[in-house]
Amino acid sequence: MTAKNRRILFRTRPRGWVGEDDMELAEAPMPAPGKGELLVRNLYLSLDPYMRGMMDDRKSYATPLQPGDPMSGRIVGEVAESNHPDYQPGEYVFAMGRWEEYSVLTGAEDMRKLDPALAPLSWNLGVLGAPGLTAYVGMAHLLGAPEEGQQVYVSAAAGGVGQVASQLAKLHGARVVGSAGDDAKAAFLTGQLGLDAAFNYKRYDSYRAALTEHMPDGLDFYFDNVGGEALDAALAVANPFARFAECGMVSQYNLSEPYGLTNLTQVNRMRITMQGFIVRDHYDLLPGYLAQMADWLKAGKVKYVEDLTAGLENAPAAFVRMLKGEKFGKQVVQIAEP
Amino acid sequence: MALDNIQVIFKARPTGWVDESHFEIRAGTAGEPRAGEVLVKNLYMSVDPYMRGRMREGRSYVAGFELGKVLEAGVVGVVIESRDETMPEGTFVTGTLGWEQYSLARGKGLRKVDPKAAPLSYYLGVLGMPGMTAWVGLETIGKPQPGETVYVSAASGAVGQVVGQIAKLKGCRVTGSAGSDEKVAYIVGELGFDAGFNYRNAESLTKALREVCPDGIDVYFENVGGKMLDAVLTRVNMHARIVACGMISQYNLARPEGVHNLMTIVGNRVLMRGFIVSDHYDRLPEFEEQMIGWLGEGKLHYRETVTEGIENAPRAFIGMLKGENFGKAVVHVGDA
Repeated sequence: MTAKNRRILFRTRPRGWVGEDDMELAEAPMPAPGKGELLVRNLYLSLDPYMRGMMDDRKSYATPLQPGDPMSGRIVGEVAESNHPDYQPGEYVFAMGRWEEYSVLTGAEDMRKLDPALAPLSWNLGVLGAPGLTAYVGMAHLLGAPEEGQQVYVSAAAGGVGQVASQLAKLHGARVVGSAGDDAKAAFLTGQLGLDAAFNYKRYDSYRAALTEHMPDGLDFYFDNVGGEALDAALAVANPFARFAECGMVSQYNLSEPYGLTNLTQVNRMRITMQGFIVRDHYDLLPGYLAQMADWLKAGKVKYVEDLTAGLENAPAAFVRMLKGEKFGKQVVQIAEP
Repeated sequence: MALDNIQVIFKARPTGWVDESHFEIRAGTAGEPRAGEVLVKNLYMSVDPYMRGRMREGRSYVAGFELGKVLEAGVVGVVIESRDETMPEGTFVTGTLGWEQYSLARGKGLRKVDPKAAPLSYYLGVLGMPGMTAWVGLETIGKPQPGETVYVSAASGAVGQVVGQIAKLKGCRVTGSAGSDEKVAYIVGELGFDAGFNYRNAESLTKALREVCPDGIDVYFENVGGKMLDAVLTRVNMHARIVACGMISQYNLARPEGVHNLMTIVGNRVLMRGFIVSDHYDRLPEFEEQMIGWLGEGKLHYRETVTEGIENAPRAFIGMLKGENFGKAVVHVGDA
C-alpha cells in the first residue's frame, strides 16, 4: 500500500473557461476507514459537464466546491478495506467520490455494487450509469418516447449522454439527427451509431442554418445538452406539440453572459413542452434500466464509445478538453488498473 | 332588403406596432343565410392579444388574417334570421365572427349562451376564451397547490385577473404585475392579490420579483415574455411550472428581446409549456359550470373596458396591445 494518497484539489474559482491551473495535484496521508466505513481503491473517474457548475459559487443542484476542496466526481472502485457490513474487500462499487487514488466512504454516497461480468467496469460510469439513465429519462420516460417517424434532434450527440439518447430514439423508430463539434464525431454518429443525419455545427454559419438543412420536416423532439443558440434554433424549427427534454446547457456554463434566446414565443405558438430534469431524481429507475440496457448492449442494438485518459494527474487537462468539446465519447480517467 | 353593415377590413400587414392605417372601415351589406346558416346581429366583440399573431405571415397556431377581408374576432350576438332549426331567431350565441355589425355563420360553429347567467359581454371574457384560457392553463399546466406562490404578468388583463382569482380560490399566495399604479391597486385592492408591482416603474424586474415573491415562484402564468420571463427564470423554485400563455411584449418587436436565464430550467427541473385554449374545448362544460358557480357566489370579480361602436374597433385593439385598457377589452357593437 502506498503511504501517500494523490488527489486533485479545486484551487481557484474560474471566471469563464476553466483552466488546468484552477485545479492542482496534491498528496495527503493514506486515509484509514473508521467504524462503519470503507476504503475504496479508485479505478475509474467520470468527467461530466455538470462539474463545471460546481465550480461556481451559486445555488445549483450540486453543492458548490470551495477552493481547497478535493474535486468531486463519480467513481468506480474496488473495496480495499471494509468496516461496513454490506461491503467486502474485492467487491467493485460505484460511488459519488473524489478525484483521488483512495477514498474513505461511508456507503451512503449513492453507492452500489457492480457486476464485473455485465460489461467493462468503466461502463458503469456511462451507458450503464447515470449518463445512460439520463438519456433514458429524457428520451423515454419524462416526456414519453418519440413516436415512430418523428423528427428527433440530439445536440452533443457524440457525448456520454448524447450517444445513448440518440440510439434510444432510433430504437423507437424516429428519424434522428445529431450534432457535434467536429467532422469525425459527425461521421461516427451516422457511420457507427446509425443516426439518419449528423452535422458539425462549426461548419455552419448558425445552428438555424444547419437544422433547416438537416430537418426539412421540422422537429418533434429535442434532447438538449447544450442550450444557447442550439436551443434557440430548435425552437425556431419546432413542429406543433414538440417536446424538449432539457438535460443540460454545456455551451452556457463557461459564459459570463449567457446567450439570449429570441425564439421563445414558439413555446406558446407551437404548444411546446420544455422540461428540465436532473437524473438523481430518477435513480429508482436504475435497476430496470440496467437490465434492459445490458440486453441491448449484448444484442448489439446499442453501441457505446468511451475515451480513457490514463493517470489521475491528467484528469484536469482531460476535464478542460471535454468542456471545450475536444473529446470523443464518454470521458473517463483511469486512475488504476482493475 | 339587405341591412347596412359597417365592417372593418384588414388593409395592410404590420411589421412593428399596429396602427389605424392597417385597417379600413367599409360600408357593406349583411348577407342572406343559406341552408344551415344564420344571420347574427353582433352585440359585443372581443379584442385579444392573439389577434396580433394572426396579422403576421407565416406559421402560427391559427390561420392568418387575409388582406382585403373582414377581420375576425370572438363575438356575442343574437340570431335575427335562421336557416338552422337548432338556432332559432332570438337565440343568443357566441363564436368567431367578423369585425362587423352583422355576420353570417354556420349554426354548427356557434355556441349558445345564457343571457340570464351573466351579462352577455362576459362570454367574451371571464366566461369565454380568456376565462377558459386562465382556467385551462392552471388546470392542465400550472396545477397550483395550496401555499404555493403564483405570479401572473399582465395581471389586470382579461386572462390575468381570472388566473389570480382562481389561484386565490385554490389557496395560493398570488402576486402580479401590471402597467400602471391604478391597475396594481385594482389587483391588490379589489381582486385580492397578495402583492403586485407596476413593471413600468420597477428599477429592476428581478428586484421587484424578489420583493413580491420572497419565497420564489412556483407557478408563473406567462402573458408577456421577453425581459419579464428572463427575470422570472432567476426566481423559479424547484419543480416550478411556467404556463406559456402568451408573450404580448414580443409580438410587436421586429427582433424579440433575448432571454438569457434558461439554465435554471435544467437545475430547478422547471416545466415550461405552451398551450392554446382551443385544444381544450372538450372541457368547456366543466369550465362554464365552475365559473358560473363562482360568479354566482360572488367569488370572482371581473372588470372590462367597453369601447362604443364597431368603427372604433381598431382603436380598441391598438389600445389593448399598448396596455391602455383596464381589464378585458370589448367593443359594444349593438343592442339586442
